[in-house]
Amino acid sequence: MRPKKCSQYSSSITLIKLAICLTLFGTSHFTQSKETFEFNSKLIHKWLDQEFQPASINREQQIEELNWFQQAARPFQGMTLRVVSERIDTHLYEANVLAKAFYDITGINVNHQITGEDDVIKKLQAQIFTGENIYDAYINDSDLIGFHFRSGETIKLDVFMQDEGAEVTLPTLDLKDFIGIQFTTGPDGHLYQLPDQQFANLYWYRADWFEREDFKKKFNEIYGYPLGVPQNWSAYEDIAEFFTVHIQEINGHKVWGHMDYGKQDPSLGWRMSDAWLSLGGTGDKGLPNGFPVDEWGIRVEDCHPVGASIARGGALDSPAAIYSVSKYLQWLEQYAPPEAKNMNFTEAGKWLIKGNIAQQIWWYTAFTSALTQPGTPVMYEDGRPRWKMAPSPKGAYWEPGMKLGYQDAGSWTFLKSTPLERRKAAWLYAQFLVSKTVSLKKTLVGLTPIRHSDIMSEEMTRKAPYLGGLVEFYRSKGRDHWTPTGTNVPDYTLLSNLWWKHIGSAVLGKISVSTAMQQMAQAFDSQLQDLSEQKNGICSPRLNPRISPQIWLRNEGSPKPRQNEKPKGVTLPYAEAIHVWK
Amino acid sequence: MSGNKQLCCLLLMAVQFFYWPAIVSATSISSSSSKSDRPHLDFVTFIEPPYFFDPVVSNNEGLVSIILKQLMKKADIDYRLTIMPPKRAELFVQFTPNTCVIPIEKSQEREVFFTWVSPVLISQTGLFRLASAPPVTLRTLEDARPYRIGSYLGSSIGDYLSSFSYKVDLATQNDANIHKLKADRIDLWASDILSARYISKEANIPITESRLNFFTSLRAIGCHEDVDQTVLQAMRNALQEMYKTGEMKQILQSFLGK
Repeated sequence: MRPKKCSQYSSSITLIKLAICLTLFGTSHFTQSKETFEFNSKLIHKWLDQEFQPASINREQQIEELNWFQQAARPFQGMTLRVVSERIDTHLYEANVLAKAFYDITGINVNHQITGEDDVIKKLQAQIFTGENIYDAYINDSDLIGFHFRSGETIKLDVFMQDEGAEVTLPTLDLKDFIGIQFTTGPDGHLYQLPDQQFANLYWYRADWFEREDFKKKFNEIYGYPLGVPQNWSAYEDIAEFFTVHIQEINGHKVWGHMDYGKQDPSLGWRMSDAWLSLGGTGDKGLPNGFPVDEWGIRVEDCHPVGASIARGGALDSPAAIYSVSKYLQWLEQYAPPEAKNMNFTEAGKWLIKGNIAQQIWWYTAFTSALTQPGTPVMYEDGRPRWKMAPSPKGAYWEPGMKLGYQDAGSWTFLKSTPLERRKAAWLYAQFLVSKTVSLKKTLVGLTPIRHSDIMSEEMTRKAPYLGGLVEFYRSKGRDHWTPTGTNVPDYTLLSNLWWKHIGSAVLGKISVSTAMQQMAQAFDSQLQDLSEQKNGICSPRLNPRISPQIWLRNEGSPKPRQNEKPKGVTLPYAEAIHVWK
Repeated sequence: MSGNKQLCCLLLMAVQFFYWPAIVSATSISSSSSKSDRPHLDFVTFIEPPYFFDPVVSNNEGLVSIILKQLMKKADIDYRLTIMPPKRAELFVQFTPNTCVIPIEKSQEREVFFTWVSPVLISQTGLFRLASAPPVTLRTLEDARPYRIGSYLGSSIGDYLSSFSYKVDLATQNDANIHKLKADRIDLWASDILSARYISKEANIPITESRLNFFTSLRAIGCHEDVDQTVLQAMRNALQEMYKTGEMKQILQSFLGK
């Protein structure tokens, strides 16, 4: 056992050797002076008074929950855990505030590390590759559900909660209250992950500019229809051109009709794989991801991925996919600030707050918190935002019944290679961070809701006018219809690398978009073939034979033949545009 | 080609001219096949005891040298190893075909610059303070915000802290930070734990460390994008075999026992 090996050295070897042991064998952190921890009920009241208000449960219920955590944690007191999550406001709040509270209440210390999302999944992959316990738990996007249910490496939480984790499972966890639990449940019915934060990808626009009479009049004169929330990509493109080319300046400041990013970086992959092709109309009808061809352009038969190229029945190199990526690149070059092409996700995310962007077709609600900070150009003085969020416009190949948009569900994930006692302690921390005692306050800080009880709370009603449409979205059916990557993708970590590599080459102008998509489809097929050879397990890939693409293109559904890619623009007033959520 | 890129290429040509001959070890791994049949890779590394010792001042074989030797033997690949400062090593490999850098910290920001064989080591980064300095309590990384934090050029940790707007002061080499602590030029030193303890002991400058290990790094082999895929796959297969068979653990235990 790993801890025993380390303890063998503790009395006799030098500090250096012990450090090596602790560092390389992944046991708890090293401290020179051992602190003693004493349970103190005053600390529970301190945290309740100072931090965990408001809550969706009353104070007595909160005390009961925290007392339960205190008791359940006793066997693990003094343990130091390592967990990792991506870099968004919600996780920073967890790492900087909630980890402290958890220690004060339970005596379990948590090094809650923050890093890039790509780094999170590469570390998860490394733990599986090495068998070493690099982290005790991961907050990992539910996009990996296709991997988790196939791999046999991930703990089935429903089984864990009933079996070896029963005594450390919060009686008031209330799984039915989690709005994203369907995203983290595999096709086998098992729960593989517990949602910790959720955010959707929506359309963002400057409502104050769109309401200006002079802009409305000018737009109608040029384009022949009203300025409003775009319903299709033609209207989005017209509005982008309108602000970048025709308006150019507002109050003496240069403005742009579009914002995006194009730096060769893993985040360029998310820009595409987070359902961009489905908005263009690449996949098939059917929620959550399109069936039999999904938003990645992968065709499945039964549950087996059978190909991504048209020649195998996929759609990654289809006219709709090429159109989707071409529009992304065209708008980036023609309507976004010149700097955008060299920005990554994080850098571009900060840009809207400058107040010089009219609209953004692909925008994460995780930025709501940053964009509602008072005193910025995108806020009124009374604390209401000058902007609104709305459903994203759809591309020329999109048809009713297809996927409407993407939602991210960062979720607690536990690997079998984590020793049981450490996994139990980490499960306590995970539940603490999503408990009803903590969850509403965390939602108000990070604005990434996970519980129905939080989103329906009076506090959220009070906050709704100040959040640009976030509460309206999460109180609608939209929260079920905006979906993460689905189970068609058998190994997200492996395949997601292909997106930024190939799209990045097109952004750099090394190859055309159509060549990039053809090469990427071939690379996908090749990786699916490798996966089918490595592991012939549950729902493993089984490639279709290559046939003439024309045969597939003549069939109903995806892959679809080339269509008119510039239909007339359509817009709607905001109140009508958000009907789609209802 | 942009002006910046041209300048970068010129700098790297200079780097190659001045540093490439400074090879510190060349392997001659015996094998049944003739040497010319085996692929060859040029590795660069940087001095970071006890991962890699400065051959000018120490005969010790660092952990990285031991792992690399075994890995390449198993993958049946010839190699030679050259020392450069860490930042220069990183840039050199980005622009030089058939080269790899070890043990670089893998990160999202670096992902696109290399093709990877990972992880060869898993390391923890902590925060250190001069033992004689007044104690500070660091329960989360946010608690370190008021302090001046030392790191070094080429460390992804320095970049990481800077990206969160911490007050970061970069030295050219990690071992300079302990002297900066002593000179009160920094309040905290962010370092790989193993390296910090070694540097402290060698310099005879006692340090204390917080309970906060705020970052876990995957130390990896980062190769130029043109390195042959079959060579990379051979290294990946060999690395996984070392983990699966327990050989990696044996190397670590043997290193501890020396």
